[in-house]
This record gives sequence, C-alpha cells and structure tokens, in this order.
Amino acid sequence: MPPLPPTPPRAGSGLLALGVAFLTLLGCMKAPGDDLQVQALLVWGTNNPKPEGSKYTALDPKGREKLRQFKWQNYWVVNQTVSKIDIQKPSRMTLSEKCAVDIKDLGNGTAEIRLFELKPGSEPKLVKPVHHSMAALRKGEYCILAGDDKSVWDDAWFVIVTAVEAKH
Amino acid sequence: MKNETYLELQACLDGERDALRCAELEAQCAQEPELGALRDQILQSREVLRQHEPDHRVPVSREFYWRQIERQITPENRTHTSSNPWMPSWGAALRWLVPIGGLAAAAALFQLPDSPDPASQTTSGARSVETTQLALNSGAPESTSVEYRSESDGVTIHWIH
Repeated sequence: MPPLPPTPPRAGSGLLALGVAFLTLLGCMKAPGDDLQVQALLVWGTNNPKPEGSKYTALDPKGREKLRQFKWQNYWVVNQTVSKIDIQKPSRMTLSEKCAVDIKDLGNGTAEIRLFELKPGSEPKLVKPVHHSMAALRKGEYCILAGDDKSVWDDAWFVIVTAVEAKH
Repeated sequence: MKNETYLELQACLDGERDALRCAELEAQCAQEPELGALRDQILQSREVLRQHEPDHRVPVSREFYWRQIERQITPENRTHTSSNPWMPSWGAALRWLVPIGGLAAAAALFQLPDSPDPASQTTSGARSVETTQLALNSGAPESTSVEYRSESDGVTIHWIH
C-alpha cells in the first residue's frame, strides 16, 4: 500500500492546542493560595457568663470540640474576620484594639501566621510567628494560637484560624 | 544505725517491703530510740507534705499536659538514636556548620541596612512602611510557645507564654 500523503495541519486544531497551552500556563501562574480564604476568630475562654450588653457569641460546636482539651466552660467569640491568603504580602486581620494576625502564603506549601500586639501610637509588636501547612488548612485543620489572659486571672484567649471552605 | 536499716525503714513506710521484714523493723524501732525517732520523723514529713503540698493546676487537661512532655522527650531520643555508624561525618560537619552559620548570620545582619527593601522604595503608602517594620520584628520574637498537634482531631495549638 502506498504511503498516505501527509495531511496539512488544520487551523482549528492548532488554535485548540494553543488554547490548551494558554490555559495550562494560566493554571501554572496561579498562586497557590489564590482561592483560599481564611477566617480568624478571637475567642475568650472563661468560666464566666457572657457580659451583659456584649455582642459576644458562643463558639460553634466544631470549634468547641477542637478546644475540648481545655478546662473552660465558655468560649465567647469576641470578633471574627475573613481574609484571602496572598502570596505577595501578608493579609492583615485586626481582631481587637490589642490584637491582630496576618497570614501569608510562603509559596512552599506552608502559610505563615503572625500574631501581633497592637498599642496605640507604636508599631505592632510581633508576638509569635507560626508556620502551618496550606494543605492542612484546606483540609479543614484548625490553627490556634492561645495564651493566658493577662488582665483576667485564670481566663485565656484564643485566635483560631481556619479555612472558610472548611466551615461548610 | 546502718544506712541499710535507714533505707529499709523508708522502704517499709513506702510499702515496698514485705510484712515480715516490716514487723521486724517495727520491733527494732521499739527497742532503739534513735530508729524510732527516725520513723516518727519520716511519718511526720510525709503527713506535712501530703497536707501542705502546693496544688498546681494547669489550664489544660491531663492528657494534653503529658503529651507535651512526651513530645519534648521524643525528639531528644531521636537525636540520640540517629547517630548511626553509616553517617559518621554528620557530627564533624555540624561542628563546622554552627560557627560558619553564625558568621553568615552576622554578615547578613551587617548587610541589612545597605540593602533597602524594593517594596518600600517603589511604593509610597504607609502600609509598605508598616510591612517592612513587621518583617524586621519577625527576626526576634519575644514569646516562647508550646505546640500541640493532633492530626486525628485536625487541630494545632500553639500555647504562647
């Protein structure tokens, strides 16, 4: 059988290949943390009831379950905020007059979460930087920074960072 | 009084000796005032400690507390067991790496003021200044923390002191 003559490339298939390559390139250029939104909650751990007139809400059962190792009866959510993780610069989330966290995708599969103490008239003071796996965050893992409440004896504060998708 | 007798008396009071030997020692205590006084002293000390020992409560559960201690001990054990004969050069390499690393860190610190952050040069907003300041602070965090991670619970807790 004589060899078949080579078929001329069709313009349609060329365009299709170009499109696929372009989309692949776009996918590669997309930052790892682009679509990940995180929620930060400032929570007060105490045995006291909710202060009268406050807008605090009780921590949801899933959050309480994560804190079941601790002794307090009540976990009041003082404030919460949502932000997108950026690879370029840290996303700042102010949780109270005295407390803020920022979070940044380091690009190596981990996110850096930094806790800051805020004081009026001075620069934010870094209290603690921690690294957390982005995959674990996406999977729904909670990253919690906590410590003793310096103003109220035997109480504690918690900053809970979770992926927003994990809440649903 | 022999040191052995003293230790045996302590062991008896701690319930670590058989009843026969304890009975013998009890009879000996009745005969020897010095040994009897020692027995009374040990019993008194035990009672005082039981009644007045400070009760330290930690703000976490028992399981959480002991797992932290376990986590601290485990890496140390790993360090000891990792010195296998197939990698004898690591120890020597580390001995050199530590001072070299220190020198490199010192050199980097001296270089910092001469290498301005491009972000702070190209942008004029207050936010860029703030970011630079935060980055410098991150070099020397003042707080220490204890980390607890449970993969099954899906939680990592950093308890900051």
